Amino acid sequence: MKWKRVVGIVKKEVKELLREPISLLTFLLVPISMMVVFGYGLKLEVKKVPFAVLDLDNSKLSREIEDKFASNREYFDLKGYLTSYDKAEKLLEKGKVSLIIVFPPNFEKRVERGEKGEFQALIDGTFPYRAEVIKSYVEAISAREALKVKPNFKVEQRYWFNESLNQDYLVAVGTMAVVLLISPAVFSALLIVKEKESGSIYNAYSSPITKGEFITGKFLSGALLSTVVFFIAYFMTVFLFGVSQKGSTLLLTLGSLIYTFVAVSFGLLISNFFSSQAAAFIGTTVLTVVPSILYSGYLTPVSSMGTSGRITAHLIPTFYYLRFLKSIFFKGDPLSLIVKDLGALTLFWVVLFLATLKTFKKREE
Amino acid sequence: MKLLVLLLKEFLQFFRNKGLLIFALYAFTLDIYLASTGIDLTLKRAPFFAEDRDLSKTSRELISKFPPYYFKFKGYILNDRETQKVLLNDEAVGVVVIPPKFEKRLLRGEKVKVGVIVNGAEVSSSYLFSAYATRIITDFLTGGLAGKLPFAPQVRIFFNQDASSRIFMAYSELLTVITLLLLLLPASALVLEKERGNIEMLLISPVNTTLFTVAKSVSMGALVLILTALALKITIEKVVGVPFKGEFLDFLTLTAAYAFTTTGLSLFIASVSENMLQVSQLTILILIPILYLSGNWTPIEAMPKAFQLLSNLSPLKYYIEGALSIAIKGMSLSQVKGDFFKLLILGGILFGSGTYLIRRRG
Repeated sequence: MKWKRVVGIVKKEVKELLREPISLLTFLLVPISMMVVFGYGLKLEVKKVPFAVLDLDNSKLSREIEDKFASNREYFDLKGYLTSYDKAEKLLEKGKVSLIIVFPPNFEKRVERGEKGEFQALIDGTFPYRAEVIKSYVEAISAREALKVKPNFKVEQRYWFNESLNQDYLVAVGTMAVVLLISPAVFSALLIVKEKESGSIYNAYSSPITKGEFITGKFLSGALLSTVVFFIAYFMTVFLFGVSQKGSTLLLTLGSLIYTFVAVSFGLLISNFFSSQAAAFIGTTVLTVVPSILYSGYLTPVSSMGTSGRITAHLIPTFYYLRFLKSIFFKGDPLSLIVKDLGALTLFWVVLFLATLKTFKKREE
Repeated sequence: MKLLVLLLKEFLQFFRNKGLLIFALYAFTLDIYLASTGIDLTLKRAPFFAEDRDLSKTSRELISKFPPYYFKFKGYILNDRETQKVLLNDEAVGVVVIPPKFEKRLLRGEKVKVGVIVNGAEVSSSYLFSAYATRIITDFLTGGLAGKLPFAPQVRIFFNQDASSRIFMAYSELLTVITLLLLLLPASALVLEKERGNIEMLLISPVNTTLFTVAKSVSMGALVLILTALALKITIEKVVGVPFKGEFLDFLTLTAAYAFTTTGLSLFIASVSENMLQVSQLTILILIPILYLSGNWTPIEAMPKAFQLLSNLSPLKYYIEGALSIAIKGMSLSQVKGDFFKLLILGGILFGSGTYLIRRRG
């Protein structure tokens, strides 16, 4: 392998990116904007639930319960009172409120007579997670009101790693994992195919450069530029989102670089397979965005997925990288615990790189 | 006539591009299938351990109260060290800690404490786990009392009785895929002509740029509509098995309005981009905020104020409101006409300025 040729390709790619301001700008803005939008924005916390009340009882008790909801401003947002059941259903249909509390006539009387008083909570089920959380809020508030006697027990809830259940840190770290897959992969996905589409690939075909040199050159350009993306994402995680890091920075950098190498190799593999940039881009996006967000453990725990979900998760590098990141940031695990994830990532990298090398033909098919 | 020829050209080009065709089909089939069957945001089979320091009949009974639908009991552990270990390795969403002498104290009427330790590293399940576990423990400990509480809510979840994630995930993924393709296809079709230099030929031909742009937009929009129809009928209804409650045509009409709006954005991307690298990066740059501001993941009312205002500019917000109302709630197009018209207005502005920019730069 002649390194001069490899370096030549790297130089060319870097120059091409730096030459055009829009390219450079968008290349840098993609990781930044993803970190900002998801890091600040992606919260599953359900707050300020818009709700309405249909009180057919209009008693002291019903108003007392209503007040418990209305005064809990952080979680509930009272939109108004209704007069009929029909209107309640309409309002839910329109999505103006997510919850309607209905007190039937004689609610208070039944409670006073010692019969079980039931009021209804109608919840919009369009967004299932929100529906479940709202349900749990309603039940908790009602139980606290109903249990007037001080209970003789205590259920102590504690969050591990994350005492305040402030999800910001977790989301920031998860976002870093997603960004470091998508951004390098999408960039690299065009590296080979753009030459095919413009025809400049014939230069490579007819020059003395070998297959290995060409692919290595493309890989190194992707990897070099993605290192910039890594530093952007890492600094934003630490300085902007204030995630404190328990483990070693060296290890974190090493693991992250291997992971970006996986992403770059994946992009190159796709790039090599297709003859149009549009196809390569769509393919890479579809194959990275959805799996890395949904199957990595970013939003939902892998441990509670079904069998097919769990198998899919293990086929996705983000799953290992996110576990690695969580170890470094939140737990400061020793190397022995992390080594498995690093090994898996390295395996992905080697396999993808070799596959690209194997499938790249230095001639027209 | 010119338009027809141009449309035919676009269709032919799309279908000849095998790679594009494969991935477009993948996005509307397998991708939606994977997202809707593999992902559940609600609490299902959440693995947990019990650190039972009492090991009495009562403590075992308490653990048996955790219903297998939501929880999956993985076994007993002995001490805090092991608790730490299972949480560290993400083997469990939570651990229930029962103190020593739990049964004795309970019988004697003394105060008892039960701990619920939740793995805070799980974004979606940690809250629901602690809420459900607390309720189950409370129910158990109030024993006779639970049934005798003076009042309790009777919860009814509308439109999706068991709060199944499948329905939501199937449609939400469909809408995401539609957005991605609508942003990308027209822009890439246009920029490709620029990259190849075809645009020069166009400038001296009798076809004017506007007609040319319109042909690209219409053909790509029509393609996405066809794919949407297929995804609804085959992937979502037949394969995933999620019901479609509304009128098929209403959904497609709304999608057409959305296609108009999003294509406008795509033209905007095309007008600024010189090559496919820029198209791809700009597509992501626009896609991410649109997805986020749509309220699909974070409820709009829970966003910071500035984002709430910005969300009014996300076309996907109106499309999601309208499309989910039709598909999940079974409403008609006339009931969601507000969303429909907002899409058209937004589309008019975007499409108009997009074509203008392209003409000016061409």
